[in-house]
Amino acid sequence: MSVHRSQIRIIADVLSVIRDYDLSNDGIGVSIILRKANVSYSRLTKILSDLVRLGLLEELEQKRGSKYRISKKGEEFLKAYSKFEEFASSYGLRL
Amino acid sequence: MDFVPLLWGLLFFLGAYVGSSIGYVSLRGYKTVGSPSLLKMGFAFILIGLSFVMKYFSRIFSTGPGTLGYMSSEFYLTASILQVSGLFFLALSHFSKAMYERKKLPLMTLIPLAGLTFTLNSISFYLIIYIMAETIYSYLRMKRRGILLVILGLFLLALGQVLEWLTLFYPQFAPYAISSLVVDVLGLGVLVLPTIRFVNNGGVNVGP
Repeated sequence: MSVHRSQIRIIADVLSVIRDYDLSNDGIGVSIILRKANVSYSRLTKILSDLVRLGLLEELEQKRGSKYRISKKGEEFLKAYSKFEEFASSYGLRL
Repeated sequence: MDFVPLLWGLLFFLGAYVGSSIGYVSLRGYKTVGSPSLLKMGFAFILIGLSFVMKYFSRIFSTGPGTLGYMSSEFYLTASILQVSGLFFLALSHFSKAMYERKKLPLMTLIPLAGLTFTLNSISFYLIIYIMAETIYSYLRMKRRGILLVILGLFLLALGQVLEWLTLFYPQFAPYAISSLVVDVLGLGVLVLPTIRFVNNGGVNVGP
């Protein structure tokens, strides 16, 4: 069954992908995030710029495009998200 | 010394405290992660908590003469409106979840009853049943044992509503009105358990 994701869930998925796949901590490119987070390009670029503006991601300028790295604030957000997701699901709700 | 008024006061206080505690944690969650579901849940429980405060005032004024006695029914009406609004927000958070996942459960037809208070109580009852059905569905999907506690809490709230109906329809049940409040507070007491577990695990202090 395909489950529709809420906007906040998509944001958490994007942050999780960046945290989990950026093993060398030098950022990952948009193509990997696109593939793993399963989001359209136009939507992803909007989300990435919002997350950089909010300080949850760091943008690393490259010769060709940019790479993204999760910030400390982003990691804290993911931790809080996972806690509150558990809280909501104990009431049978989804974030 | 008559302990009954003290017991009433204590139960109303517990209801208000428990309702607003769940609401507070949910609103903290909304502030931290920005989830609309937590916002709706927060509003729902804060309003339910406030409805206990209004019911308390209604109880206090019920013994007063003339205008004060009239104010008692005004407070009771306000409490019913707050409770219905709270349950509406809770149902709404389940409704939007269901909208993403599958077709909604059919909304039940309301039987029109004479009097606004009766109608509001009926709406409350139907909303609790709807929320309970959605929660049972969530349990079947997620298989989390904690959800069973929420179902039990909702069942007690529904039972409390039925008992409240009896006292409204049949005056001979009026002396047993406290039992409806006891069941309501027990229901909320069960509903607060996941919140207590969450707070004990340091859940409220997380976030950027």
